[in-house]
Amino acid sequence: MLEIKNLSVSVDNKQILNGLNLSVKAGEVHAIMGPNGSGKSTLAHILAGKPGYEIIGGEIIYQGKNLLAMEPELRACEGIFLAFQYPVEISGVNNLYFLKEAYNAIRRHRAEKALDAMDFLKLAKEKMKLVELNESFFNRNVNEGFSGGEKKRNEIFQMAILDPTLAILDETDSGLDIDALKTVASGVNHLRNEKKAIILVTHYQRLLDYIKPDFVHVLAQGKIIKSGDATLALRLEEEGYSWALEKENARA
Amino acid sequence: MGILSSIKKREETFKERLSLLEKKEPSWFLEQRRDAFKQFSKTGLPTRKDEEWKYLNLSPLSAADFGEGKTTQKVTLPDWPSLADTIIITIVNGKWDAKLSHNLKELPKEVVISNLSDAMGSRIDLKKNINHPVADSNSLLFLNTAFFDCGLFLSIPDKTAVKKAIVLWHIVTHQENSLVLPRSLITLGKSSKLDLVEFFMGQTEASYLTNNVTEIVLGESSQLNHLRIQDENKNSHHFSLTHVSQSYQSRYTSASFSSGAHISRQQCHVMMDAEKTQCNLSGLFIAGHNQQMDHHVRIDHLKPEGTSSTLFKGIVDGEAKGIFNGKVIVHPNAWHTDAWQKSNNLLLSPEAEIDPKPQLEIFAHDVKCSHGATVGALDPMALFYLNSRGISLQKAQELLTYGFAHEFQVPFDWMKNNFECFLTQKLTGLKFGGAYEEV
Amino acid sequence: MSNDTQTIHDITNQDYKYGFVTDVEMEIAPKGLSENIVRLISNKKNEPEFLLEFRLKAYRHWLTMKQPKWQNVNFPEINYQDIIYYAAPKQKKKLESLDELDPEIRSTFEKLGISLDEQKKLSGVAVDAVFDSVSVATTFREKLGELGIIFCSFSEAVKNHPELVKKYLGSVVPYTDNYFAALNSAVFSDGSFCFIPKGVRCPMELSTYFRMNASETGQFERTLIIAEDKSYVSYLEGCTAPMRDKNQLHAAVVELVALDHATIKYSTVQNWYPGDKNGKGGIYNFVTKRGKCAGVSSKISWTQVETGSAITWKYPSCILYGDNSIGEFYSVAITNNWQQADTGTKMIHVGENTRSTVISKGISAGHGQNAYRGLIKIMKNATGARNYTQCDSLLLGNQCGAHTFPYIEVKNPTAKIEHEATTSKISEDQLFYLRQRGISSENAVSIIVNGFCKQVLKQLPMEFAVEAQKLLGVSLEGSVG
Repeated sequence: MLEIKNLSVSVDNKQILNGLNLSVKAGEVHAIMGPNGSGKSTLAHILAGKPGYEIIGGEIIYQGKNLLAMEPELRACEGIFLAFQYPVEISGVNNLYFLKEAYNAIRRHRAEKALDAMDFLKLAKEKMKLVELNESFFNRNVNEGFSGGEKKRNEIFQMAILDPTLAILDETDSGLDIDALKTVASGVNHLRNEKKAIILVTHYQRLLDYIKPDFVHVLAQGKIIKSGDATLALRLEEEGYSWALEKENARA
Repeated sequence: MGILSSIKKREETFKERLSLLEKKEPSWFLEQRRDAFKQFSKTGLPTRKDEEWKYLNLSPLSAADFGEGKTTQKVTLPDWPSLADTIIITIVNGKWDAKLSHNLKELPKEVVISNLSDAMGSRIDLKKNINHPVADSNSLLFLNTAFFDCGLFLSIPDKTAVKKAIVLWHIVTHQENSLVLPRSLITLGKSSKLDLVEFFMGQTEASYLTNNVTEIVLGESSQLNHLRIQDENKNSHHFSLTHVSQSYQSRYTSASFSSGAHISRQQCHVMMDAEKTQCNLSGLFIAGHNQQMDHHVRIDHLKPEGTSSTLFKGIVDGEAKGIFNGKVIVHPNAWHTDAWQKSNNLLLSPEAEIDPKPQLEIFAHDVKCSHGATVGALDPMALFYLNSRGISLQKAQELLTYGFAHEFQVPFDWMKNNFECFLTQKLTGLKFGGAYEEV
Repeated sequence: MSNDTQTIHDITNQDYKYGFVTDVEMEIAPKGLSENIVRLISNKKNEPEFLLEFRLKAYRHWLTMKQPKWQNVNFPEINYQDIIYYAAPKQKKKLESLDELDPEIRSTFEKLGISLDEQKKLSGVAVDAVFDSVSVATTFREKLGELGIIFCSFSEAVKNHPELVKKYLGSVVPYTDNYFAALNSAVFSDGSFCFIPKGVRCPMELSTYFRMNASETGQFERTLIIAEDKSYVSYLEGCTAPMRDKNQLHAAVVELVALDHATIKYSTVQNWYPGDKNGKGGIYNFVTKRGKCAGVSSKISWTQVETGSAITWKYPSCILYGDNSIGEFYSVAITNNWQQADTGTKMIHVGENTRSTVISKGISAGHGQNAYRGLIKIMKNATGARNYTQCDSLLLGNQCGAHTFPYIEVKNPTAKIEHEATTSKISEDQLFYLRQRGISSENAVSIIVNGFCKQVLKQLPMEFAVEAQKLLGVSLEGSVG
């Protein structure tokens, strides 16, 4: 589904990613872990097409297409979803209205008929049970005045509605208490199936207690220095990132 | 007859002044003096028809007859304990008196203090630093430029951090109806640092008129912490212009406190004419009785990445009038400007009036600007709460007013306690709507 | 990034859709202004003596005045002798019914989406259609008449209700008020008149649609709305004009009077021709609008969406005279290309416990200059007065400007005034967030702009909200949930 080859990226002339390789197949869940400043969020942003980054080398192939040549909205229409680490507040814009616009844009892209307001409302009511949100959520402005936990639930709720093929969760676990974490995780697990892939970007192992990854990668110094199965995450938790880094540096 | 009202007297005095200055000052400055004289003669004092003077009633001024003054009185140095360890430059009736200064020897050797007229004669580089064109300028600046006597020049060289604060101690001892025209030029070299206090007070009960101009030029990465205290006697009038021009990465922090003078107008104009400059202005004014107090602040963001903040607090009691006029202008190309401005005002009496006008003019995009203004009275619930705990009404009012004023802070730690005592004393003088005795 | 800029460019460069010219036979006065022209206008309309007197006094006063210069807009000197002060479509006889209306004019209004056909009405809106300063049709008059509501052209009101006109004309905006009010008082040709009697709640929206058609004419209409005790009316005003190279002057005067416990809601969607992309042509919209909350607990609420005109210069104001009266001002002003706007409000608090709210949203694009200018004045006896003002500016592009000039004058210590203002550009983060969810960048800009204006748009009556949203280049938000 996703093939990242030798990706190098800089921002403001500072190199963040340095020859990163990653391959993700349908049905897989990948966890990307790494110390602060290792470039985890940059990777998530690049996949979604955030402006402001300079690609200095490498390529990303998504479902056989050159992802880097696509506008952010086209990527979204093609099934890429980014759950933001810091979801932005948009005043005056109704949450449900915004989501309906997005949902219908994606449907139109797939040459499907747009849903009218009533049908969309039904869909939204059904999906919101997943994240244990109440309906007052619909009428609030996008992320405005939301608590940290509400913002994260809203991201997962949007993911449930938009039903992406490749979901990237950027530090979705940060700032969540244990109950919220469980809710978010069960929302994600619900969406897991053999046609979809999920990339979890996280600093801590605790989210992985609830969402079992198929692969765990350690991102440091702008590339993936170690890959393994779920046990790698436990090892990292115990021994810290310095353990993986030392090994890498010794090898170099 | 004084030079404000009599044209003949004005012309004679100016001629006389020029003939004395011709030997000292360079021709380029004499030319500026002549121009300023012409400009002042043309317009005279500002009137309410001028938008920038709309709320101030200057008629008591025009009626009086201000001119050159005479003095007999002795001068005393400030009794603020915190000023004992500062360098005090005493300026009496607008003229620097070297003999009355204090701790001058403690200044680093390279720091220059001199008479401004003399300095201009020997330093051509001052040409670009003095008499900056001032937007929203007014005839009082012209009056000062035409007539000021000697003036003061203070220059901090590159890389010099002056450890002790410098205090410009402006004292008036003149008799009735004198015109006092202090003029200062202060330059800070690259990466230098200075704590500066300008103190204005009268040591006479006479009605005089102070018309001060202070120009400040900040070099690259320099830092100036500036405190102004205007505590002139209640019969006098005070006008002043502070003009600041900033270079790359320089930082200007200013706090201005006023409670003195019958009619006063203080104007501060900061030109942020370089990248990454920072400017923080704050002010507190307390007007009671029949005082009129006007504060004008203008900040020009001319280059990218400048940050400015303005916080002015006004307390108005009696039949007094407070005016705040703030203007932040973000010029084209001043991207990433971050500017905020706030004017909070407390009205304590039914006869008092406050006219705040915080303005924003923005010509660049990608900027973050905000401003706010509030006007209100003391919270009756809070007053009741304090009363119910046994505190008298007067004391409760003082306490709450103090709480309102407290957000204003002097920019030096060493003066904090001393200033707080001073402030408390000023607040005790408020009548909270009650009658003031005639001064 | 260049993409977003392009989108903003596309959105802000939509063409003016109402620029066509209607070909009707007109009766036109010679160019220029003189006492004779004033008399001619009055004569054409068979006006009573008091009105001619009013006009002449205004004209003579105007001669002593100078055009003000304090506003934050630039335009060349206006030659007042180069303007036509009276232009009216020729009507052979008095209309007996709406069916007799000139088909050209009828189709003009149809094209503008204003139906003058009562049978085809979509919603409860009664329309007074003003074509080049003359009211050509007023719908639903009989139905309103049954309730005692008078809704007619100003000329008809002069004829049929001279006592009301005499009593209220100039009572809120005296002809001495300002230069353009004086000019209007001298030469106004027509306009709308509404009178809501005691205790009546007007069952439908009253609306005037202004269409400027003839070239080189000025439009000087006069609107007077009187709401008696415990009455309610919601009034809408819309306007368009053909595209012409020369600037045209529109100097209207609107006076509102609300008596005890009455409410007047006045909404404007102003879409006069703004000039072309190079700033050529367009309407000078210099309008004096003022309401007097004369009675206790009365309320006047202004809502305006200003998208047109080369220059907009107006300050719909409230004089809060009655105790407990309320003034409101909600405004969206968009300046694009070379448009300039200097707009805002005055809230004069005279009575006790008077309250006012001011919400102003300015959007600047292209070379547009947008200024908010507002005065909040608390008089000595306005004990307990409250004001809340919020003015926000949004900048789209790097050659436009946003300016805020709030004047606050407080003479009563129990007053509580709060003023807040912000200026920002469209946030890149917001745009990216919406695009990541699949929304095109063009729609994303619309959604954000719409959100920015929401506080104001939600004040508009439903019928107008749709039109306003269209004008903003956005689809209707809030149709769900």
